[in-house]
Amino acid sequence: MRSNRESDRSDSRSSQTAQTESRAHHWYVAYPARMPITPLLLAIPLLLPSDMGRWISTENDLGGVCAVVALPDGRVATLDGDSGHVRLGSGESATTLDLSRTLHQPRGLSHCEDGRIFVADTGNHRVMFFDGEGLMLGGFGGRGSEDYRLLAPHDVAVGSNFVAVADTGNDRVQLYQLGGKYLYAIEGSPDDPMRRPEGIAIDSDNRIWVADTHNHRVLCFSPSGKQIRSIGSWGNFPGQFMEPSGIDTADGYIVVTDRLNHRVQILDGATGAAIESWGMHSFLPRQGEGRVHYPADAAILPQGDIVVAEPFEERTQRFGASGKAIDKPAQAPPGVQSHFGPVAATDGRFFCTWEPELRAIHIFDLDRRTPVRLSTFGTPGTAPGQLGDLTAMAIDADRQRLWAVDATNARVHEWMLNPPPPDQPRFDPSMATLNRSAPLQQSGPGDLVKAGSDLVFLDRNQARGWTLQGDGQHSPIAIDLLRDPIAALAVPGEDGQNPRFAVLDARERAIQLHGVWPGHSSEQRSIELVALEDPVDLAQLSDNSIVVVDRAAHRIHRFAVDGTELASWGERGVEHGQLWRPAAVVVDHHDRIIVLDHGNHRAQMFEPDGTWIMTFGAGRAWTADQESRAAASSNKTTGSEDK
Amino acid sequence: MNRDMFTIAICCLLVAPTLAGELPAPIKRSALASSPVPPPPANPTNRVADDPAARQFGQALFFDPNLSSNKEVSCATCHDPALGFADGKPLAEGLKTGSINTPTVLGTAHHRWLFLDGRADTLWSQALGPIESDLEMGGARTDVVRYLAATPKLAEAYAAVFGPLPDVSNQQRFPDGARPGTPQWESMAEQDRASITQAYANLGKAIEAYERQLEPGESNFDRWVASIRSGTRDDAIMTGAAIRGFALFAGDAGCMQCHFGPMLSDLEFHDLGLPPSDPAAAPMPGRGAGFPLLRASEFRADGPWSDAPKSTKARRAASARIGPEHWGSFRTPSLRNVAATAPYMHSGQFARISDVLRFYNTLEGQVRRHHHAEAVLVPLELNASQLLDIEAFLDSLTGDRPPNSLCVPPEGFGIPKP
Amino acid sequence: MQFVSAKALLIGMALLLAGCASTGHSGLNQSNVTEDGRYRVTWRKTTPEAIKANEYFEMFVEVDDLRGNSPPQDFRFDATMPAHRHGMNTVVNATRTDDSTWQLQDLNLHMPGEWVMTFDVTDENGVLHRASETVILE
Repeated sequence: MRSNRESDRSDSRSSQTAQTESRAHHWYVAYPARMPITPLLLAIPLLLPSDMGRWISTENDLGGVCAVVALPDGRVATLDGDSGHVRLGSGESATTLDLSRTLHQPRGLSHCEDGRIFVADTGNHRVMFFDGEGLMLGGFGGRGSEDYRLLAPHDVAVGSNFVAVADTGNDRVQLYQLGGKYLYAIEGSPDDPMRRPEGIAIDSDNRIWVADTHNHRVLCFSPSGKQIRSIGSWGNFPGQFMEPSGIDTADGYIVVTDRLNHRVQILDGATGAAIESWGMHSFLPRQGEGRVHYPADAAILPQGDIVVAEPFEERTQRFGASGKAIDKPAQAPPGVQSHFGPVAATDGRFFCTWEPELRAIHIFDLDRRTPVRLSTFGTPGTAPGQLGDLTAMAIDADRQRLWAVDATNARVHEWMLNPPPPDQPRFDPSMATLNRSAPLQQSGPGDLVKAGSDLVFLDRNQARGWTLQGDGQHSPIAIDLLRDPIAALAVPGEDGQNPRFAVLDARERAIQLHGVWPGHSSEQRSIELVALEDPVDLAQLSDNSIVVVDRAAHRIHRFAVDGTELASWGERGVEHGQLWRPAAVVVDHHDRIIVLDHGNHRAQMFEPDGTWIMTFGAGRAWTADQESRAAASSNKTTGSEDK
Repeated sequence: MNRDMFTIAICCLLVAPTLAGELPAPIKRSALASSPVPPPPANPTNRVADDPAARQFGQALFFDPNLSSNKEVSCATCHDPALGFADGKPLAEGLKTGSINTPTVLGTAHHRWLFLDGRADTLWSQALGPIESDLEMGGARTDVVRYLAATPKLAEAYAAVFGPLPDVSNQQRFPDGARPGTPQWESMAEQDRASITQAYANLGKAIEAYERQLEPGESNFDRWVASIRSGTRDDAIMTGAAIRGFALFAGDAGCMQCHFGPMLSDLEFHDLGLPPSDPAAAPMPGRGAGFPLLRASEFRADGPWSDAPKSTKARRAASARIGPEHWGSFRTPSLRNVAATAPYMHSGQFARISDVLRFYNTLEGQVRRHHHAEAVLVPLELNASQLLDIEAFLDSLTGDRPPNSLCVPPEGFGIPKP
Repeated sequence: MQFVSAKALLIGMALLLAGCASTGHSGLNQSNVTEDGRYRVTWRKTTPEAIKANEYFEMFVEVDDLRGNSPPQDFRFDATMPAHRHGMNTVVNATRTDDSTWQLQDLNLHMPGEWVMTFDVTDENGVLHRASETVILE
């Protein structure tokens, strides 16, 4: 996520040439001959201390801060992926560049020694670069899988004479000249390819370090693309990773944010050995001061401090020798039993969600007083039947089928369910049996929609939809999915045949309505969501109204089909009814709205008007009745077992 | 036993339910499946595994401190016959203090994987590891072969089993201290390295031949099971507490999830989340580190020094799998002679069996590295008398000692008793 | 030493054994159809004749396409313990002996309890079809 500290003055000349050459290949490169240059400080010799994981400070309220980079002048630059803002510096002296008109859900940030700021414009499938004032200078890429194109690139790193891009959706790394001219791709070995790499860094020897996120390892390549080293595998032992996300390097050290292990690891770049790690999931909601929660990126500052970005907590934390020693208990915190999300589905009495850290699916019975967990199943891996990262699920209570999109393995899995009778719910780890698993054309995120007897897959990266056939033959759907179809729903049409679709487009911030929708005019084909910050999922109630989750605003909205807002609720917090980066929503067969309160590791159930009904997790539930009784007796929150 | 424990024990004897009458069928089946200990499985990768001459030669090597760099440490230093072929220490102490508790050699020929992290797949390849380990004996294979060549009795014994030793008299070709990883070793010709390594592998095979005789010995538990098998069950062979303890062990306590079969071990690897003996030290990877060492070992059962590289036995290492659950895991120990091999667990964390049982009973101090890892173990929550019963059962697994002739250096080699 | 499901397994084993004198699972010439009905998988234990906890064994597997004559693209065997969420400690060596037959070596269900053996057939379109069989080992 950062450039080399060594300056290469000759490169500024060569990049001019590159810029000229690149025009033929890239449609919006506009790299000016003269541009503002950020003053460079002399590179400071860096010695990382052995106690580099001491906590120094926390900076809060940074939105979806998904990337951090150290600037040569000692400042920190951060990227808020929710708003598209780049923040230079910290505290009150920070300045903010509003790049939101150019960027859509950007995830990666880097800078060039000539002062340019490079952004992985993930949602627009490109890399853009700006001057120090935020003036857009150019970019390269564009949605696609051809040599020079990109698919949901999550990170960019600028070396002394080339730019490396984590081309996440294409499972590869792409190299470009500093001006944007395409060089070549690194894809790893054919029999062991990368899977959705999300982080990239370039060291002082121009070696390329890649967080091969969904292979749970770190790779190192020579500038020519030869693989030098592979470090780690799925696991929580030192040196192992669970979705390594961000990566940075300095003076032979590699710092990696180990997202699902909620920690930061330091590796020796020469040997690959794990030197140090710190973090550990919080005991209490929002606990910081060394506790780390879903870290996305890290940067090594010139003097050796390390800044860690945690979009989930909307904060950065700074670590270094001058800080306070972190309590590193051997014992994991109690209470954090399960992570919910960010995927959910419901049908009939079943509600299912996804436990990313265990690569396991939970199935609940909703028709009890509080939801009862019926099964937890799944193991991590890439072998048949094993699970990578699930990005969508669908369930059919009548046919007793469950489907999931496995973005890591580029497959759709189908299970048969053998549930217990409704009046005898019991836990059964063998309740689901894999029936079959069909390949998808591309690994990547996408939604899964049950449309009558059909199953429709929306490939978000490709903005295409497919009706999935059981034999693996997929037929394209006849719906224009616009630019960024992040979620969809389908209900049978009035004729019981042609389903009507509602597709949530995160780029346009609108719900596109397809088919005949009662209650809206033929002219009105969409529900505008421009007031929402970060709409990520939708669901429909029996009165046809549509519920939308606004993740960055921690809020739920309910709209009539004509666009009238009927209700809105939620605020950032950890109390019942409050939300923390909610990720998904479903509506059950009792018309109850179930919100995956992702950041609070729980689900919450609401009435259609937003009245809170209950909160539940894998092992406990809290109902309004209990809470009111508890409040009356002791004014304290209590929990109850879910059975 | 303190006074409270004594009182509890007496109460148990008075009031605890007995297992008089027919044993429950599952308990009986478990008993029959746990005894007797069969002969060690054949090891075709060592053609002299059961050769009498190799046994005696191996026994001499086992007790000979001259294989070590300081001429003071032998296999028997840590595998002391007087201490159940272990050392009674939390951590092994050879030339230096190691990080692992010394496992007993008794019954070791029954194990599928050797070393607690499984870095070896045969007993002969295991025996070669400590000789060249700087923590243990610090030797070098070239020095060992030269020592044998210079010791007529040993050279004769070697020749009788394997043929003549290689001629290592040329110091230029066979420099002192040469072993893999040293400059001296790198300076040697490939052919010379091979001849030394062949001889070195043979030493391991002789040591295995000796160790295969070190069986756990018949225990009261075995005698009790034999009486069941013969149809004349004789509970007097065991105490009532031991029988109740076995019923718990094989029943509700679920110990047989891992401790089953005649060796009372599944021979595989598990991570119990044991509290580390040094909380400040980095966690021990166990099988996570042993597996790549096994894969890289030149002495693997399917490797160039094996006598049957295509055998079924040799397939085991090639088909072994490492998974995330194996990191931090160590081999399930056999419980045969467990009462004689304190302290316990891979780092000698627990001094007494009762400490081990207390851990399983409460899981106090258990380490879970991942913040929401699934609980593999749940606390047993047995009462004090039940714990005493299980301990009594474990006591009943102490077998007859091997014959004295196997517990001392063989006559005629001039090797002093340890 | 007690695993989470030990009691449940013991009850299950007791029920199973009430009607089964054998302590091993005899898997000779058994067959099952993939959950979607596309393939019949027949497996034959070879050495030894019964599956026992922690004993290596081998099998022959034959795959019949019930809806056509396309030979499977691939076949893979695995076994897992759902209650413990882990599988075998070995990598199964599957050798294709003809279009529809595989020899499986290095199988070992290393713990007592409930195992689910899975037979995964990959068809000409890359779709995986699974047949499974539950084995309870004492």
